[in-house]
Amino acid sequence: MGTKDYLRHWRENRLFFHPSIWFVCGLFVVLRGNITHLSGIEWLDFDLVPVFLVYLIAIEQDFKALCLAFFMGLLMDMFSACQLGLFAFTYSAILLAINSTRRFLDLANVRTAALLVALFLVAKWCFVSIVLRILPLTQSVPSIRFITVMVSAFIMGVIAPILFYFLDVVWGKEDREHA
Amino acid sequence: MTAFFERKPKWISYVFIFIALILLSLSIGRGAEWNPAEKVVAQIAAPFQRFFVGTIRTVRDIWGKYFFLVETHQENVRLRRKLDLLRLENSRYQELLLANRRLQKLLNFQENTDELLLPARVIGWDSSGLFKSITIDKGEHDGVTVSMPVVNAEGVVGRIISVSPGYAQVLLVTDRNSSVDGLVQRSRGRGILKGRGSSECLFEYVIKTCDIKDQDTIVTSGMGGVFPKGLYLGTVAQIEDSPNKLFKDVRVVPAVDFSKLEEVLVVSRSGVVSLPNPER
Repeated sequence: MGTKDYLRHWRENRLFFHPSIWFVCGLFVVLRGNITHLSGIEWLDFDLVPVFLVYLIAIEQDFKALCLAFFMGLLMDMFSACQLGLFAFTYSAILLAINSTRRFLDLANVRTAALLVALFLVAKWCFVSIVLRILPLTQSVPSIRFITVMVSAFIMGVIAPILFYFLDVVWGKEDREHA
Repeated sequence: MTAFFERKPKWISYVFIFIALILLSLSIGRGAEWNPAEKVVAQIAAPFQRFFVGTIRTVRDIWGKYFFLVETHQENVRLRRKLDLLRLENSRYQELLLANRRLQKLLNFQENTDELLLPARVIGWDSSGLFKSITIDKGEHDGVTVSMPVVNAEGVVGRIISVSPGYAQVLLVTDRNSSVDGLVQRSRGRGILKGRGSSECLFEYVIKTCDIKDQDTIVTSGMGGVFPKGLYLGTVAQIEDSPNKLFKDVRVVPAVDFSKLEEVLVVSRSGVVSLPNPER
């Protein structure tokens, strides 16, 4: 089997897709603080993980999305000054909520998916605040500004369709409704 | 097993949520200290941060040094370093002067001189965006341990909260979970500097009779056993003395400019920190 055959086999069976998503997500989580700090946008909740999670849910890769959510949450816990499990719990719980309500959502529509990404971010901030208040953790609740959350959610909602397009290309999907 | 979860993905959600809750429960009272598994992940992932930051700094340096005002930049860097050293020296001298004036001749200043300072580079910033922490390129192998203070020439940066063999995580004084016992340098009034998660801190538990003014300097008190005495914490920016409150509300601008933080010094009072390795 030649190199071309290997590439065709990998592309047809989408063998690149999930390892690529895991690698990009992992790299993003590790470097996220650096990216936001060096570009002076620390106030913005620039989180690409929800975009990948919503995309995986949209293409009905629920199991893989749940695994990705949990492990990226764990990685974020490690590279943040919070208790281990905080973001793993948050991402998993939000994804469970999305899974439970997906029959009401038309995730093939890019606008619905982008809106879901924005809602995901808002839900994440709410969840973290609630968890830190309810559980007897030693940590204080970070000050969360409503306007910051809304602006972050809006910006991520705008960025999401662009990333969906690239993910569609990698996945080989052409029938998404890019309205 | 995988096929079962793929058919019924909600189950894996419950499993993950359960595991996450167990992890959260186990970490209650332990702080954010890294466990052995986390140390392994940090060792693997931190080089990516180091590479990323290194690349950005190299590109910035090339631009700053070779394409843009070569001599002015070098002169500026040299003068800034000198100014930083003079500031640190000045802080120490003022502390010594005040101590002498109070006739505390028997005070043992040995502790101020036997501190070992380990230089470290900042290679990462907090991934969540909710908390204020940094990752530095020195760890257990360099003698760094949890709770060691971290400073730079401007003042107190924070303290070590997690350590892996080659890297360590520092909780910044601006994080809401940070508390440092402080003194008003001029009047010796006491308080606790607490982070607010923003660019400002609060100097809490300042009693009504405390003599404190705008632009007063806040320094570490040396109480609590973490930070040595006399390090700059910040400058008083605003004081509110409400009659309905027990204490004064004092806002403090941290001494350190965290937006430009690149190098820090890990302070070891026990002298276990190893000498910096010039190859790293």
